[in-house]
Amino acid sequence: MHAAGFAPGTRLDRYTLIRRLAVGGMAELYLAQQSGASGFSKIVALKRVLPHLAQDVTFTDMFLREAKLASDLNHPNLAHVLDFGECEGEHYLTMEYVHGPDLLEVLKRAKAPLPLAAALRIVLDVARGLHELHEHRAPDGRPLGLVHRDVSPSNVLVAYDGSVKLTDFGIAKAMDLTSATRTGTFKGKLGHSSPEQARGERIDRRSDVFCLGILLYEVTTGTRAFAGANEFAVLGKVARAAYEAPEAVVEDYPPALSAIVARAMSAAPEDRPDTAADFADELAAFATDTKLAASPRRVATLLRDLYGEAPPITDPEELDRIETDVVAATLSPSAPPSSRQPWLAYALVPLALVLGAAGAWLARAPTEPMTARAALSPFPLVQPQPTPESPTLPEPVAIAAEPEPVAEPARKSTATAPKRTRKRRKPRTKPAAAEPKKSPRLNGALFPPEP
Amino acid sequence: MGDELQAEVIAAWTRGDANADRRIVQHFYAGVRRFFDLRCTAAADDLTQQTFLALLEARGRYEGRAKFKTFVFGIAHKQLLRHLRARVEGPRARRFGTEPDEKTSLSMVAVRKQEHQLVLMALTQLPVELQIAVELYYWEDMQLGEIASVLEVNPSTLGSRLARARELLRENLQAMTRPGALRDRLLGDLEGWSRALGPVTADANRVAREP
Repeated sequence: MHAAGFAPGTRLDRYTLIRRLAVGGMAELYLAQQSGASGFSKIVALKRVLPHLAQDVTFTDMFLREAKLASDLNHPNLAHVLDFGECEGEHYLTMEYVHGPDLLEVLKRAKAPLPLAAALRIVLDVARGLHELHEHRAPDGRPLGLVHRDVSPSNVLVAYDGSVKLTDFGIAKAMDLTSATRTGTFKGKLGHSSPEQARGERIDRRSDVFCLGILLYEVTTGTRAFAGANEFAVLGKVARAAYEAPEAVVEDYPPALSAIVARAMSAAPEDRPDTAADFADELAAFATDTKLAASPRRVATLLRDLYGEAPPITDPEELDRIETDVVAATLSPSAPPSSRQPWLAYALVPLALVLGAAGAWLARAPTEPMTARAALSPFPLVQPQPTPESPTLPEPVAIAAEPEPVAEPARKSTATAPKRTRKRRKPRTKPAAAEPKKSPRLNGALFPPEP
Repeated sequence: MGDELQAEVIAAWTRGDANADRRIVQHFYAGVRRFFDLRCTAAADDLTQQTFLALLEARGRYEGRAKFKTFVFGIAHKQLLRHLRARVEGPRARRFGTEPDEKTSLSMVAVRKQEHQLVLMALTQLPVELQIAVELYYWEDMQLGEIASVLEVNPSTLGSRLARARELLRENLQAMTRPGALRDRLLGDLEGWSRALGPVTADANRVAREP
């Protein structure tokens, strides 16, 4: 259905898609260029709802409503939502483009615990961004009681400059109301959930604090806190908060850090730090006590060690090709432009050939450090928590694993890429993006609230 | 999974009848696949296939003294142990980039009843030999002596294992639930919930991949 995605150059309102970065079960993510008056342009990440969900009015309404909410969030450690809208049936939002891999990619590449200073900085930043989310209020000052619910490595963006941003908030409520969820399925990441989530109970911000503990565990041990042969095994471990102590995984693991992990990953919410800020304070105190310079520079160094110098986001050749070749082609989810506007299709045939070649050219680049992106978990997680002003809660749900979004093969940095030679290629009308690898999807249950 | 079918089929099977081979596979497929499903989900299909291949190779060794079902699960158990011995465990298995967690055929079971999901979650937390004892006892409806034969242990040892398994299941469920009606329902009839999973898990595995 979404094997290839939109062709480079496709226009969506003010945005020109440059290439697809990743695809998930509910949305796909593009690198895009925003154009404005007087030659203004800006590179952004554009998330587009996949067609099968674009038809779901409840979902799209909530997607837009929650995107609006997310666009109000403004914190250096939260990926900022810039814009959202609908264009001929395409629902999308744009976010600031973070140039660097997500934390999951970093961990996969590192194959080991991250250097402690960098690890602490990453988790500290996530905690601070998360606290802002938890504290966010409506314009009238009313606490919104937001809970992220998917604090996991794939939702943490690590930029080459050492900055760290938590992403993927804004459509969780929409997900709760999709037809799939209404019939009993909810999706999240099993290994990055809290015991109360695993039990299908109501959650509050302390659920996210538990997940911060998981994140700290994982970056400092280089291993997943909860893993198992299947969803029941993972859920069972999460529900009991049964994980191998970090000092059993890493020799000389600092006991004080282990204590911070243990507190955050307490089975009972009341035993955890009350807020993400409290957790961050504990972590900062540990860094101070151990004289660790947990600075963005350490994170930047880590990325340089793992990936080399930051590759360019795009290259002028790519942008030139898109700008000169493509006549605005708006697409609808059900029909490509060629079928909607036959005259335009004929006009675009030569362009399609060029684009096909460009797509094939792009796709042949070997997989490199994943190009920076806004993460694409299709189940971003903002959920109201009870407040005195708003005591009503959504139905509690049991969670099920959601596949990690699959990154498109990234383009090789021009700094390191071998010289490209142009070959004659079979014309294509779609970019030759790699077929996304199918990830396992695990289903769980929507449980009725405990009487 | 009644045994009445088997006498003539088994007799034909021992004579090398190809049609009997097929009927044996059809008869035991769901149970054997389920035997592997919760413990080594990703390899469940392969192990099921290996079990039936091993069964063919063991044709001459079946003497009819034990139930044929016990013979089949004894072979499955050996396949399982071989697989578990080769499996990477510990932190190495949890490194990023290692094989992702797999979906079992039992996912849909959990959609229907929270109690079922919780019992499955609790069951996966037991040591392997205790899990097997519970599954063969409640799901396959096997007698203690038969299970002991499958696991190659003394029946009294098996009795202790089963008692320990029930105790751990109860403890796990207590850890996984809050005080309330759900916990009361589960702990009030743990045997009933465990047994009720038999037919639904068999159905799930039958649907997973028909031979």
